[in-house]
Amino acid sequence: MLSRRQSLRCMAHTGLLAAVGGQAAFAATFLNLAQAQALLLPQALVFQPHPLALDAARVAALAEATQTAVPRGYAPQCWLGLRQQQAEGWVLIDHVVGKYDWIDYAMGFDGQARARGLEIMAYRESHGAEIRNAAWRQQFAGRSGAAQLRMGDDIRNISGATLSCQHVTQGAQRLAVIAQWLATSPAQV
Amino acid sequence: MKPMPFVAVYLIALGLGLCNPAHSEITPEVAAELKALREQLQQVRAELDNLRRAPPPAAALATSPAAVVPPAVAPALAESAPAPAALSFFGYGEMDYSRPRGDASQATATVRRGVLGWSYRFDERTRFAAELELENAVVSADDKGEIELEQFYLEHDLSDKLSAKAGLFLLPVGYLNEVHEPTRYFGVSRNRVETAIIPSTWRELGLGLRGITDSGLRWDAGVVTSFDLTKWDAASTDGQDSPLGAIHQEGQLAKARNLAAYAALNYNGRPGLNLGGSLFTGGVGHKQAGFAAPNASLSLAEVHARWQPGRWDLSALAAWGRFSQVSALNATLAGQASPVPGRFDGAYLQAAYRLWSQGNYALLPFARYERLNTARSYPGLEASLAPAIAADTRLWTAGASLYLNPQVVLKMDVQKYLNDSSLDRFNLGLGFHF
Repeated sequence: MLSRRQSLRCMAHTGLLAAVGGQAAFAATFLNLAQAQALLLPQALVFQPHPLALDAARVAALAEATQTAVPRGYAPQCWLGLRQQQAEGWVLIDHVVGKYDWIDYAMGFDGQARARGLEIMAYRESHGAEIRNAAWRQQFAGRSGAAQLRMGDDIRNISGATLSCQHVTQGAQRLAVIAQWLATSPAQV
Repeated sequence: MKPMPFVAVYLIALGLGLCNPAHSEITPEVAAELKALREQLQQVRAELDNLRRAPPPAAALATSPAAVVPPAVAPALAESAPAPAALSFFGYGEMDYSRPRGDASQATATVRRGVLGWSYRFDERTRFAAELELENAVVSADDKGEIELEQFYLEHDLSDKLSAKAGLFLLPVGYLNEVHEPTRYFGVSRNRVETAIIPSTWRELGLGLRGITDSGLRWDAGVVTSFDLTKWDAASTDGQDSPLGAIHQEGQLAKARNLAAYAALNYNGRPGLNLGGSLFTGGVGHKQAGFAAPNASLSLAEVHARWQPGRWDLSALAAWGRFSQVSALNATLAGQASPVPGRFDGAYLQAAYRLWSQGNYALLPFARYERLNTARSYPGLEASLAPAIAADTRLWTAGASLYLNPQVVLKMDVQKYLNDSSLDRFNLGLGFHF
């Protein structure tokens, strides 16, 4: 059994090593728009803004399709990714409240509304930043529509980051439905 | 434009042996070759930039079979999105009804907790957060309520994966301490292990670091105030109920002659799985003159695991505490009800299952088995002068949580104490967070 002084010394060394080692590995992972677009649709060379026309009827349809409460002032932003003259897919950015502050995130979808991935662009709270972990975000890739993005069934939780996981997943469900609308009739969305 | 030029540069560099430390000398020929390659690379980049800036011909888009045609409206820019408010409010509340099985006259109902939290973001990397908690509805000289600052700290992100905090904050110990909203745990009341052994909600004043890594690790370390053993009241049973809950300081004129250190590590690299543990160690005697245990210290270790495959939510936790250098103090407490324990510990296993869900509604039955002992030994006391070591407290809690919304829960459970049926009870609860 270590004495208390030995335990303190061991913990101090461990903490120092973790801090130093961590700093060395801390390449900035918060993303700006261009970085998120490039990560989500790497084959696209040009991103063309595509304003979304989400009127009250669309918002109601979104709430119905996702079984989520669409936040007031809901206004995700959308870009069409192009490679030369070919559409490669869509990138949508949005924000949700984690526990009390905004989480900015982006999702990429191919032309058939299949998710290419999810990126966390900004996280501002004390707890829950683990949702930036690649393994958690990878769960979204390849899924289509709200029915394939159910929290607990399709998207597993991170203990200690439950609210962030829940709310980002709900946001992803809404974007996945919008992506389906874009895939079928983009001019109407 | 394909990325072949970059690959070509790398392959040529490999071919020239530039990646081999044994060939670290660069001859004039190699330098000239590199210069040519650099110029070629710049040319390729310029072409790529021109291509990115060029708008795609709309007609070509419309005729492309796989293309999706954007509407001809003004572009929206990410920069036009409204900035998040700097000041945020949040909170939670819980109300309980508890009826002992053997004595219904002791049934009680209370507003267990009402908590208002707020956060202010000074900039993207610096924030303040606080929680103000009112327990049991009323606070006055004649009532049993408490009002307290549960958290009150400043936090600054040193990098995107490392943050530092200073102030009164919750220690990263176990599952309940940091995440204690009623919607986040099973059972009307918090589990016994994480109240009697780990004194949730446990906060200290001090400095802390938190980091996360790409592999899914979260680590915490810090230096904080500790417990105050001079508060120990051997005549009461508070120390038997919760040895650390009886001597916590909670940021109120806390004795700080002795400080404590903590460290915690959690693995979240696989979605649905959490493995972790923590260690807290520090002095609790504070070198107080006239106190029989001025050099007393405390260590608390804990490990936990949680697995959430599909509809299941399985978790386990074990915690061990130890007071050191308390023999001299206990020698003065002979014959008293509650000497200072040498060791105390507890553990639980819990399983919950999402039986039904529709929209925001969900029903999750659960069961939990706990075993704990708040005093396994009394150092410095002969057996004849110390209270008998009590048998482990063993209890089952079984019930269900009905979520009206992920943020609103109705709870029901029954608790069965295996070695003291007088403690058996039926509980109802209502909890929410926002």
